[in-house]
Order: sequence, then C-alpha cells, then structure tokens
Amino acid sequence: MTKLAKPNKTLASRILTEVDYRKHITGYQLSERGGARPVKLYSFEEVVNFLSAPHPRIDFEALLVWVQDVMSDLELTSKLKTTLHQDVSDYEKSLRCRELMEQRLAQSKAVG
Amino acid sequence: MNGYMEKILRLDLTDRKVSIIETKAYKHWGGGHGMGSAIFWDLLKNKAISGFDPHNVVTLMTSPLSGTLAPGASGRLEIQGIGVQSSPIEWFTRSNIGGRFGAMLKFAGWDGIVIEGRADKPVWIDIRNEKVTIKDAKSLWGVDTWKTQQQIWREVCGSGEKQDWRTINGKQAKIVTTQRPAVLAIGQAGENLGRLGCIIHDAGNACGQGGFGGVWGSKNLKAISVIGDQSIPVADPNALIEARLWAQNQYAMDLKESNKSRGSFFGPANPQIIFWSRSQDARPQACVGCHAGCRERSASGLGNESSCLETAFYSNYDKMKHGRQSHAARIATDLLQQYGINAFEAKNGLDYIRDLNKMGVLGPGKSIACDLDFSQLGEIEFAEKYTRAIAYREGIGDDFAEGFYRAAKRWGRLEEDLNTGTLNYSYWGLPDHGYDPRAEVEWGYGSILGDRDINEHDFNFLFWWPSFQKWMGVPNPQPDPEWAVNAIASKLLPLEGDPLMLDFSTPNIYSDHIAKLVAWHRHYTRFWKQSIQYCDLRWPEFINSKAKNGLGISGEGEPKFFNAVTGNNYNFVDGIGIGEKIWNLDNAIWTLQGRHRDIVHFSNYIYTVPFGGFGSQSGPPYYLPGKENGKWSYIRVNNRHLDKSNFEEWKTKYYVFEGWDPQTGWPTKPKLSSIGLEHVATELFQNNRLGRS
Repeated sequence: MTKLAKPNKTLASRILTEVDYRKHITGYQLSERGGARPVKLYSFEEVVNFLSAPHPRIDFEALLVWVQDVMSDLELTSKLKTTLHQDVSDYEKSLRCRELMEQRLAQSKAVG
Repeated sequence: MNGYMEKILRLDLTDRKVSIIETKAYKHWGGGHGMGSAIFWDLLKNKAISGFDPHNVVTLMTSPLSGTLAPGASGRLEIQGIGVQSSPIEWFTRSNIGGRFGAMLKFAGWDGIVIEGRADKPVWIDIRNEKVTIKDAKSLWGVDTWKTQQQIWREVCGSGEKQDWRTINGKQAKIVTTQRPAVLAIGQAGENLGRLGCIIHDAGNACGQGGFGGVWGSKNLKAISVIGDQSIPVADPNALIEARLWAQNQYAMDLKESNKSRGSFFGPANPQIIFWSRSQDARPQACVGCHAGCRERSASGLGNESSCLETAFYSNYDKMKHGRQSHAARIATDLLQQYGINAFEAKNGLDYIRDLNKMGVLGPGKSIACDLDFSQLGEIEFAEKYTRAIAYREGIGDDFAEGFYRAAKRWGRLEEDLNTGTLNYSYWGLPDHGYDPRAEVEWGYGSILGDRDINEHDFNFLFWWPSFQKWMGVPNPQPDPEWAVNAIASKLLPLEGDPLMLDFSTPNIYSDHIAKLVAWHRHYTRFWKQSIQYCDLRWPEFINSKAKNGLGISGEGEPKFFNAVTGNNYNFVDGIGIGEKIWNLDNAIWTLQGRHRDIVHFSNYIYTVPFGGFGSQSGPPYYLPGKENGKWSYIRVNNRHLDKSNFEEWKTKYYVFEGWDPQTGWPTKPKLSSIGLEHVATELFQNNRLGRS
C-alpha cells in the first residue's frame, strides 16, 4: 500500500478537528430498501468511517477538493488523485481511498 | 364468507359501548384499507376535523388472508384514520403493522376494530374471543410499550413459560392456547400527544406513520390486547397448500442452488432488511405465516424484530463515533420502540438538528436553545436523552414531538430550510424516504397525490440493480434494460404493453406514460397491497431470475392465494379495479378535508436544488432505465430537479387520466358513478366539493 509521510502537528490537528457546516462533505448511503440517504460528514474521521459502511457513495471529485481545500492535505490529495485515475471500479476506488485516509487518520492520532 | 370472521368490533370509548358491524356490508371492498376507508366514510360525518378530535374514527382492519398460509400476507394489519403528522392538513392516512396481531384478531373471531370517541380516563381493551372488556389503564399509563405488553400478558395469561398450554377465561368460554395475547400499545410519546407517536406490537413492529400513537393518546387508549383460538374458514385448503408449494418451487430461494435465486424478490436468499452490521449471533424472525423472515432475533436480545429504517436511526452515528458497530445502534432503536417514536422522523430530525448545531443556530445559548451535547452523538447517553426529550416533551423535545417540520416552523426556519433542502421533507411536511422525487418520480408523485410517503418499494429494484452493478464495475448491468422494461410492462395489467411507463429520462417524467404508471401503482397498492395486505417486502414481483422466463410471481400469484382462501374467482385486473375505487374514495375524503390541486406541490427545494446538490458535489450515482435517442439504457438521474410548470402540466394529465376535474383535482360524478360510488358524489356535491366533469 502507498505510504504517506508523517503529518506535522498542524496537519494532524486539522485532520482530527471537526469542521463547521459550510465545510462539510455529503456522502450517500445507498440501499435497495432505503434509496439514497444523505449523510453529512463533518470530520476526516467521519469520512473514513462512512467509507467503511455498506454501500457508501461519495463524489470522488468532491472528496479530492475537500481533502485539498478543507484539510489542506496536499500529499494525500495527490495520492488520492493517483488512486482515482486507476482503471478500477468505483467500489475498488472507494476501498483504496479509505485505506489511504485510514492511514492518514492513524498517523494523525499518533502525532496528536 | 370464507376468509372472513363475519364481524367487526366497534368500540365507542366515550360511552364505553361495544357493538358489532357485520363484515358482509363491506366485503366487496376486499378487506384492510378498502374496508377501513368505507367504514370511515360512513361513520364520520364531518371529515374536516383534527386527528386529535374525539370524533376521529380509527380503523384496524385485517384481510381475508390474515392468519392463513398465504405467503407474505398473513401477518399484516392496516390502520387508518385522520393522522396528526402531515401538514398543512392532517390528512386521512394509513399505516400498516406486521407481527401477529392481525392473525390473532382473526383467531379471536374479528375482521377488524373500529375505534370512536375518547375515554374519560386511560383504558385498555381486553379481547378474548368474543369477550371484549374496556379496562382501566391507570397502572399502564406512563409505562413503555414493552413493559405494557408484559403487564398485559401477565394479567391475561398469568405466569408460566411461553410454550406452556394454558387455559384463559376459566371454564366459561375458555381458550386453550400456547400463545400469549397479541398487544398493540402506545408509549410515552403517544401519551404525550406526540405527532411522532407510534403504536408498537411485540418488540419491533410499529404502526409508524401518521402519528397514530398520538391519536390513541388523545383518546386515552393505551393498548389493545387480543387472544383467540378459533379457525379461519378457507374455501379450498388443498388449493392454498398447492399454491404455496407452487410459489416456493417456482419463485422462492433455491436452497440447493441459491445463486439462481439472486433476482428473487418474493423469496430472496438473504431476506433480512437491516442497516446495522450483522455482527451478532442472530436468526431470522418473521411475521405470522411469512416464508421469509426480514428481521432478526439476536443472542444479545438487542434490536430484536426491528427492521428497515428503524435500524438506520443511529447506526451511522454509532459507527462514526466508534469506528465500528457497537451496541449503541441497537439500544437506540430499542428506545424508539419502547417510547413508541417514529423512526423516520427521529432519524431525519436528528440529521437536521445536527446541521443546525453545526450552523451555530441550535445548541446551548444559541438562538434555538438545546441542551443536547452533540460531542456525544453516537453514544448511548445521547440517544437516551434525545429520545426521552421527544417522548416526554422535555425542553426542546416539546418542539421535536410536533415533528421536525412543525418544529422548523416554530423556530422561524421553515421557509429557508425547505428552500435549501437542509430540511429534507419533500411532501406534506413529512420526511423524505431516500427515493428522491427528483429521481424516482413514481414514488414522489404517488406521495404528493396521496397523504404520506408511500413506502411502496415496487419499482425500486430498477434503481438498485444498475446502480449497484455500475458501482462494482459491471459495464452492462443485468437485466438488459430494454428486456426489463418490456418484461415489467407486460405485468402492468390492464395497462400492459407500454414500456415508456418505465422511462425515467427527464422529458418523459412529465408524460402521459408516467401518469399511467402512477395511476397503476396507486390502484395496485390500494387493493392487493393495502387491502388484501400482500407485504410490501415481498410483493409485487415483476422479475425473477429463478423463473424460466425470468418473469416474477405477480399477476398470477395475487389472485391465486386470494381465491383459494375466499372461494372467489377474481383475476388480477378485478383487484386493480377495486383498488381504483378505493383510491377514488380516499381522494374524496381528502377533498372534503380541503384538498385542491393548488396545494398539491412539493417543497421548494425539489424544484430548485438538483438531486445531489449544486457544484462539484453531484450526488450518488443513481441509475434508472431511460430511453434516449431511441435506445434504452440505465441513465444517471441525479443532478436534476423537477420543473414546477412541467409538474403542474403533468398533474393535469394525471387528473384527466383518473377522470378527475383537472381544475381542482376533485372527483367527478361520472367517474364516481362508473365505479359504484354515487353516494360519495352526493356527499361531495352537498359540500360543494364535486369536481366538474
């Protein structure tokens, strides 16, 4: 798996901090019996946990913008971009994004 | 009168009077919803009253299939009356509950219950076969739904193990049974007149929509208990067994080759419908007579019998808080069941107030004062405090208990939050389900033309199959879209053969074809699903991968079981015809309540905000069949909103198709006369509400 460099304290802190309403990102949990239910996500950790739920759908381009602009994590943005350009299914992209973000979350918790 | 017990219990709580309505007077409506609407029409002279008015009539109706071996139709019960949840008008509405109450009511000798009036103090109803007693509920008032049922079980059955044979009623009119009574009960939410109040049965069956818990609370009715030991007359028991075996062999999961049954809706390989992780030891649990248990009983005893959205209430917050599923989600759902709280409102409302908290307008010291600690969201303590606030109307819970649409109005936020969609309540002040009206128009149109979120999943597989497969990277999802729409169209009798009824492309969603689809759907569900009470989780089934021609059980299956039980000779279209009649009667009731086409519109965001939002957030990849440039494919339908003027034109097409007055949406005399509802036309005329033909 792609290794991310250890985040500095500022980035780690940002990763671990909830954002306000204007900076949230919306995912959708899809199911045959529930349709597409919006899930507003207010922290990096919430995004990671959301991506671990059954049938998470998140707009990948919006996720890139969010990681870049809200989290200001340029390294992760770059790695996510590479992942999202791979010729694999959206399901597989979702898993790979989650792995990268899980790694960043664990690093941030270790630093924080 | 095979399939029927020939009498309906009539309870006047005001005068504590018990009487009987003969079922045969209403038999031509089939059962369930049809009978309930007809009785409501006959008994309630002024229909433009609040659901909290003592004169409100509440019906609880079974079907001729209740308590029989008809698959997925034996355990349902239809509840109707004027609800208290919708806005701006408290519509005459419906809900439906599973479990064993409907079957047990038949075993006690009753086809239904009609409740009128208001008791002067809390009461519960004790039904033991024909013996009906209105009892003091002083010791039950303030008690949650589970403890209420336990107390009633002890009073009726005494102590003893569940499986023991026991004699009830003593020597006279004795009932010998292994069963405990089936009990419907309200919790504290209903007692405190919460518009989110539900009626709960056993651990996790809920009559959830409409606020009937609050209606019962206003009538001082805490619970109804029933136990009986009678048999249901079945016209042709051999044909019923043969039909069940036929259905199992042709359409249900193949135990030896389960892969073949992937497309079975009637009897799927994994019938459970739950949103929380299956991390616990659990076994499926089913309603009476059902062939496919969609709920679970778990080793921990948590979350038993809850299903569908109830299980989604807290599961995301639990996972987001703990990084995995903990007990919190199940405990939170159990709290909803114990207090008797509507899970849809609790879930959408919680999402909404969290957003307001993040906006900085709701919280301690904020403009909307709220002492919930959102840093604890996902923990059991937060769920306890939130649900308790609703149930007891504590603090801001007094607003929550009104439903979050009315709460937003109290807070002065309604217009703004319906403009943005922050409050995703798309029709009649009710929470959105997830099948967005901007995408699955049959769901949205059906809801706004009626009284509630329809909660009828008949066509949702058309979104799920392609959306799931495309996510998994399947380039050409199966079944082939052109085959699928033609297959389904062949089943939509008597409007069969028009695949454009399944074309969800943007130009077509305002067409006559979609008007036909919505009409067919309204008529089908009003009879086969809500009167005969084939469960929404198993019926209808249009496509089935196990069947040789790929076509599902619907069309042939519905009348086969109905006829075996009743001895009638109905065909599928006969049922659709009665459904149309019921739908017209319901529309007449809404007309008398104040319905006019001018108020039949969605919340503003449905016309202005694309499904999935603006800008880079384009929403979930949501696919449905559509015909573009002469070719069928699964097309992505998010990123669009409805066009208000096009929808207004579509309403005209729909009203014309139904034979209603396009200027008002009211029923007309020619239409009502053609379906045997002349007396309805007369009452509408007397109230200046008859549509012009």
